[in-house]
Amino acid sequence: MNKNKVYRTALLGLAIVWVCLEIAGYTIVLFQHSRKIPDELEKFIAEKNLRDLQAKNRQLAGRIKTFSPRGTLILVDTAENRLYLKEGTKMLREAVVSCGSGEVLEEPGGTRKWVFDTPRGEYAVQSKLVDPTWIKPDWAFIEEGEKVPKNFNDRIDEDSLGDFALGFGNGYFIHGTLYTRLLGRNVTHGCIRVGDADLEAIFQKAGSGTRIYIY
Amino acid sequence: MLKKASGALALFLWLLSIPAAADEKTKAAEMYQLLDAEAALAKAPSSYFIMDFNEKAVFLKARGIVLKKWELGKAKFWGKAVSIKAFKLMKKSTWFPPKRKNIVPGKDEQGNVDLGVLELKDMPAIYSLTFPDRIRVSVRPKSRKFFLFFRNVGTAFRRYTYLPLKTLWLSLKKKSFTEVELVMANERDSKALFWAFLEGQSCIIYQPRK
Repeated sequence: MNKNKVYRTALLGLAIVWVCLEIAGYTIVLFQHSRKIPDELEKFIAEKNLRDLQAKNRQLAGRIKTFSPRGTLILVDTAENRLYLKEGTKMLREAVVSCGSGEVLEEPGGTRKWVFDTPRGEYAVQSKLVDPTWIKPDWAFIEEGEKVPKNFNDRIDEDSLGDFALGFGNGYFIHGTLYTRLLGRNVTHGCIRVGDADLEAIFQKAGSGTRIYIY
Repeated sequence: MLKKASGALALFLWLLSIPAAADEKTKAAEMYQLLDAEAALAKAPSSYFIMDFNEKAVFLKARGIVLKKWELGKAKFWGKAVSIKAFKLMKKSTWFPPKRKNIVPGKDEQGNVDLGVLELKDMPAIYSLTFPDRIRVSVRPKSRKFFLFFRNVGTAFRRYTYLPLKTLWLSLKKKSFTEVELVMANERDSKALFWAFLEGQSCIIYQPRK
């Protein structure tokens, strides 16, 4: 009976402490919310007048627009495996593509390692190729479990890249594919594979220097 | 008498207009800070995020153009208001981080339907984003009914126990913090945001005064 009373008192004590801590926490938050404007903003507001601010806002919005690329744009959504060909804000074409698999290849007994991601960021079309030839890099042989050839001609593959290719640097291309049924999935070694009809439309529209945004 | 009354009325109207003008000024100042921070980011080629709680959306942008937009379901704030400036994402945390698969040389997988590659479906839907100045953004999708009870228990514990105690603890240490709870419209959006947001990428959290 006595033991029960001790437990009850301890429990009640803990509950009181907990409620006090909760109230203290909430009071601090309420105080913080009543001062919702950060100090630096409050100081900034005091220094400026409304008309100046509105004029500056127009100026800044205009300035941001000057950074935006004009003309044809290629946007690549690597998560959704979609390529958007745009002219300014106008959508010209949406294509189902294949982007990097995210897989890792390590050279057996060696030190080299490759991560097959499609690189993200801002790029530009650097080269436009018709009937492109793929010069297979070392990883293409290692992945197949083959020996890396010493003869350059053994690296030439004339079939894999389709009818057109647009290079955007570091050996990455937007190109055609033999594996059209895998379009829409992340299966490539970093390049962007596109179906034939979409690839031709992109190739016709994009020129050298066309901006590519990959995200 | 009439002059006095009209004078008093004019004074009354002028006094009424003061808070409205102050609000307008605050809005303009907040917009200025947003645009100023974005102008600095748009100058560079890297893409950046804007969590815009006015528009209830998260924007992925580059050079001022919108690359992708996610609608927000709900958002809740706790703690100090966030300054309108660019923050770099320090860390993405999740219970089950996606794992890359190692390729076994010699095993052709182009014909394999179950490729085991890293795709959007493999991304976590519940995670948190840590920024400098003790800013933490928890992201989750709207819950499916089955998980609603467990989620509510978790959210209640977090909101009514963990956060008040954390506030108290950090206040005693004279430190402030900000917690944002983002509820994405669906699981796919939540996963896509995880995919798109890279550590080191800049983000502006725009939470204008209501």
